Amino acid sequence: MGAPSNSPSSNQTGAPPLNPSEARARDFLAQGRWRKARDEFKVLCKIDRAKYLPLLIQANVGLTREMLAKGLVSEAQPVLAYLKTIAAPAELQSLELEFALKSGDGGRQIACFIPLLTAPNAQLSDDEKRRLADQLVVAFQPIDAALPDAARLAVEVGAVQQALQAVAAEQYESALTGLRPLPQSSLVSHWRLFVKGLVAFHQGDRDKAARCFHALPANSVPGRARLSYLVWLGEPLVSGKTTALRDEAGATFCRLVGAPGADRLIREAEGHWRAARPFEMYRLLRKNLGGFPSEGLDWMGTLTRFCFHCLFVLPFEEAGDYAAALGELADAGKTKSETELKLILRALCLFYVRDGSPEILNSEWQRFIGLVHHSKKPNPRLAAVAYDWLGSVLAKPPEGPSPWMAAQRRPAFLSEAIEALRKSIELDPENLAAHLHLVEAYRLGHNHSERNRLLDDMTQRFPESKAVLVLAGGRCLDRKAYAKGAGYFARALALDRLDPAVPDALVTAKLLHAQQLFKERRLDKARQLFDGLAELTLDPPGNLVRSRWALQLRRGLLEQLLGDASLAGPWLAEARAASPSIAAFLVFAQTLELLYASGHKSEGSFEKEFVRLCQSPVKGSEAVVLLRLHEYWQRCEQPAAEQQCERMIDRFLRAAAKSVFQRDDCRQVAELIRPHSHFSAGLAVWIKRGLKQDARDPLLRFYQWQHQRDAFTTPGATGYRLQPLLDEAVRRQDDHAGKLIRKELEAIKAHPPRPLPPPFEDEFEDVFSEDPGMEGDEVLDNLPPMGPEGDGLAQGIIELLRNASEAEIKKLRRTRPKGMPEMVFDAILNAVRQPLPLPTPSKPPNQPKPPPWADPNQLDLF
Amino acid sequence: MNPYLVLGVSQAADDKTIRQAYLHALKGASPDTNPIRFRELNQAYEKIKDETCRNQYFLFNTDCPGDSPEDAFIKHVRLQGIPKPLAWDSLKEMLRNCAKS
Repeated sequence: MGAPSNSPSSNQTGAPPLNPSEARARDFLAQGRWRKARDEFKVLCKIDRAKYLPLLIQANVGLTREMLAKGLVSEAQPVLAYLKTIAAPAELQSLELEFALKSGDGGRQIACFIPLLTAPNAQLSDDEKRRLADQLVVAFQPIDAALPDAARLAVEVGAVQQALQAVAAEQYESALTGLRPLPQSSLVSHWRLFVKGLVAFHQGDRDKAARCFHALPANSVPGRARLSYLVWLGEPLVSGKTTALRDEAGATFCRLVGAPGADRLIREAEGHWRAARPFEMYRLLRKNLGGFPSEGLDWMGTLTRFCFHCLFVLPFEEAGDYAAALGELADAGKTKSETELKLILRALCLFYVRDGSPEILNSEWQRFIGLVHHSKKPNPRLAAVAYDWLGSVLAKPPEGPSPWMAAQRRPAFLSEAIEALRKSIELDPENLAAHLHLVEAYRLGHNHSERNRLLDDMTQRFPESKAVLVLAGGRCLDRKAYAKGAGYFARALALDRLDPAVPDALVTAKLLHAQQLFKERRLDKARQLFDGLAELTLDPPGNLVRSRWALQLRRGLLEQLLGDASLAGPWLAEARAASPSIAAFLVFAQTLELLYASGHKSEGSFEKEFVRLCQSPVKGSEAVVLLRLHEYWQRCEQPAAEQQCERMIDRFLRAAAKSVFQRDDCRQVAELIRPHSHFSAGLAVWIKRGLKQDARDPLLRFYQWQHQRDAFTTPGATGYRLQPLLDEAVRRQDDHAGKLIRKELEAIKAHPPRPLPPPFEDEFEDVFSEDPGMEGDEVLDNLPPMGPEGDGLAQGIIELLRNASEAEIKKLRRTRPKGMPEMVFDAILNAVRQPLPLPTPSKPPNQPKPPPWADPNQLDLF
Repeated sequence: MNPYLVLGVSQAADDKTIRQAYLHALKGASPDTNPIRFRELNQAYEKIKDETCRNQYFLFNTDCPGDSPEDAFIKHVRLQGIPKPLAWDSLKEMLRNCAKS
């Protein structure tokens, strides 16, 4: 009974005019306000039953359908019962069927409709027929075969039911065989697909199962039942906004996987998670699941892991709030179980490891270890790993306003770190990582005797560890035990012949030993040592430790200065011939001579020759080799050699700028010179000259920008300066320049520099240039405002200088922040020291020099 | 995912048991036929292959088992292997509920 073709309120032409009551009733009917329409027509029927009864039936049918659509099945029942008293049965067949389908009370009621399914002239659509047939199946009751035309349907429905039962009993073959005779034209043929899908699913044929399930009509009963199986198969059924475990599919899914009833809870937890309320999610699960939190491998354990590990994937602020809420729970002693406390402590310690207080970390992690010890059977190795981690974290130098500051600071909790690391070693003497961390902690604490003792012990305990042997060897070189150090390096080399740092270290140790022997006038032994280096010698000239020319030069110089000068000539001549350039030979020779001739006056013959060389035209490309030499001396931490090298390279750069040089030379040199370094001025001359030839060269302009910018350039200003250079590089198809500029722009976007408008360095210099005679306090008073970060940096420098010994001051001056003029450093030093008496040096003058051996990759000769 | 679940061993399993489970699982997941599973198994085995690794995993693992609680739950049950069919009564109830919806 569909909607009337004409509007019920329309009055046909020539019909008598409607009375107001009828017009109102027809309007209600037209608007779909069935209840109002029904009430009006009920009254009108009493006046003219023949005229208004069809309209009353129509209103009641509309009302019933509306109720069924809303799921109000029980409310629809009396309306349908009333309809049966006023309408012909044929008119109500479709409505009664719909009611039966909605009520889900298949069985007896549905059986009444069997004739509708079998009659060739039935008025039902295919969809309605299928729904009706589904109801017959899920009624799980036998169909009376005596009904007209019901015999065949009864057999087919029975076969489906038996197949489903066979699946439940894991009799898959029988399930499939039972459905084989089912014809394609059958009203329940789609159930065969469902059963096939179920069998494939439980037999592990995921593809076939997915195929069968996907082929099912969506609005059929099996079409809805398949959803939980498709969730398991990982089919993308749900969009990002909806949940997979919804409705019956969720309930079935949970029942299927042995977690009946979990769907509601997980759905709710999912809601909290999506609404960015992680602690609410945790609280919900904690309240409703008895065994939560759990460390087990069941689904509750997985949810527990999710709740604690999500801390590490949440946005920082959200994670911080969540961690704070968990912390409050633990602090208030309201944890549900020891397991919960343990899990909270672990998660919080790992979460706060970067930003939290080391003191709290120390206590909370130890509390966690205690709980682990209590809940599990004692496991010393586990505890050793835990203490090792604690020690290594506590021994990390605190982060300062700048990396330079951080490197100067002693960890505040070094003694606690050492204690934790010792405990770790005590619990598990085979824990190599703890040993290595303890060595580092001793180094940071300048506890050299303990460090040496530990390293000696480690070489016995871990004779097969390259890292230990290299560390021990390096430490031996620090104590001038060169032969012993060489022995360790030789053992390390035997363990790993592919690591180039180890032979470099071995040659370094032997060279130092040879130098010592020359000084002791044990010349034959020293020469034997040099002869023994043959197998470790390299032909390429780039390696300044092991290349043939470098070794020949060292030997020649040692002979000349400390041995037999008559033997030096051939060695020096061979070295000169094999060197990458005369300039490189002269600079290296001059710097080495400075070191080897300590205590004697250097003749400076190499420098004189170098000065003469610079007066003639020199090749710009040679500057690259010289800059690598300078890098080498920097790594060796030999300030005298480094300064000598700087003087000579500066001279060379200025000489080369006057000669003809290629743009490629300029590129290579510029990439080796860090902005605001000693050679920036020399490079500026090169760039200026290059730009005279091509004023728009993007690469040279980029280098110019790089070496001139101040430390507080804002990202906006950087983009403003660099974008035209990038455009020019693209126009010229200069890939190298384009790559460099893009990289810089991306770096600035990712890590914008401190957005402080005052140009710190410029103003700093202005202060001094205007009044160089200011006293220290005045200097500090006249410093420009630096903002919170600048204040932190200055405060840190002041604290460091106040407590530093003379030896440390020397080192601090040498390694001061890049861009800080030496006079500024001295002015700060004076200002800091004036009100206080100068601290007496508390350590011997040869005290702590950071070991170049700590990192095997930085091993170099000095 | 949790390596114990991936390899199907208990948290108290020793090196030998874990290796056996790993080799057994590898039989059905060669790098050619099922590279994803192969990688998953390798990663899981590396995490718990010996006591040191297991201790490290126990103390410092922070891998999230899913993108959301529901995702974690579904991934968890998938790791458990194919479930047994629903019991006959549960199946009937499920189908009847589907008929009503």
